[in-house]
Amino acid sequence: MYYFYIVTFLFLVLISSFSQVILKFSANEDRKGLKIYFNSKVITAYSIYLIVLFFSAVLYRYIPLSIGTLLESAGYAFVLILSAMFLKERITVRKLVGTIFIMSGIVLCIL
Amino acid sequence: MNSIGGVSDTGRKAGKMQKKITIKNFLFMNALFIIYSTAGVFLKSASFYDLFSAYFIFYFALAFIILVLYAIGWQQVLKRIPLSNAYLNKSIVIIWGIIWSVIIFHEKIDAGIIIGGFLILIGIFLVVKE
Repeated sequence: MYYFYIVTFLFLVLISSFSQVILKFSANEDRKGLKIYFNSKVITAYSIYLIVLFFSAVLYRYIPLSIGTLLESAGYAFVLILSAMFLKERITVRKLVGTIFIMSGIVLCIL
Repeated sequence: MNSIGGVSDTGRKAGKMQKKITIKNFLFMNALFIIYSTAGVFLKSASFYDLFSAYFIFYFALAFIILVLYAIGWQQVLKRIPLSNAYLNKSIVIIWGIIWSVIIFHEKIDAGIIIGGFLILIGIFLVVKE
């Protein structure tokens, strides 16, 4: 059951990485005044983030804080991959190696 | 959860400018990371109580407030420190998280967490460094 909670927590990190990409989409658009902060994309991104936050509080019942903190760093790797997929940002070999390091570190700490 | 707004446009613009990092700005940034790391502590505290009970809502609200304050502070940091540098320094949050888990929740830290954490820090360095 422990691994189910771990995978669910990682899924939450993935969802919150998605909301970062949505924010980036919003930042790339040309908006002025309050529309920069209050538009459908920003509101969607923050709503998703709030929901993720709620479920992470639920999951922390079963996951130690130390592990949760380390799991969150998967966000660095997820954002990198999602930016390559949706924002066409380039992944360099160094960034790819970094992602492998992050993922191996996560595997090592949950074993 | 990992902070939102880390890849904001304001940040990207600030990141392109080369600025000298003063000790004051460096301390401000690190104070902000310490504050940010407590959000996890409050989320963990909330998890000890029944869903939607008063204490759950109280701790969850504290975590939420911390994250709002962090989002505001982060924009201030990015005005003073290049994004890649600030993002790199942000990895210190992992260490704070582990320190709180030991001090406050008396969690056991095994070799896997230490070595895994070390690998993650190297990974973040490789991913974030410009």
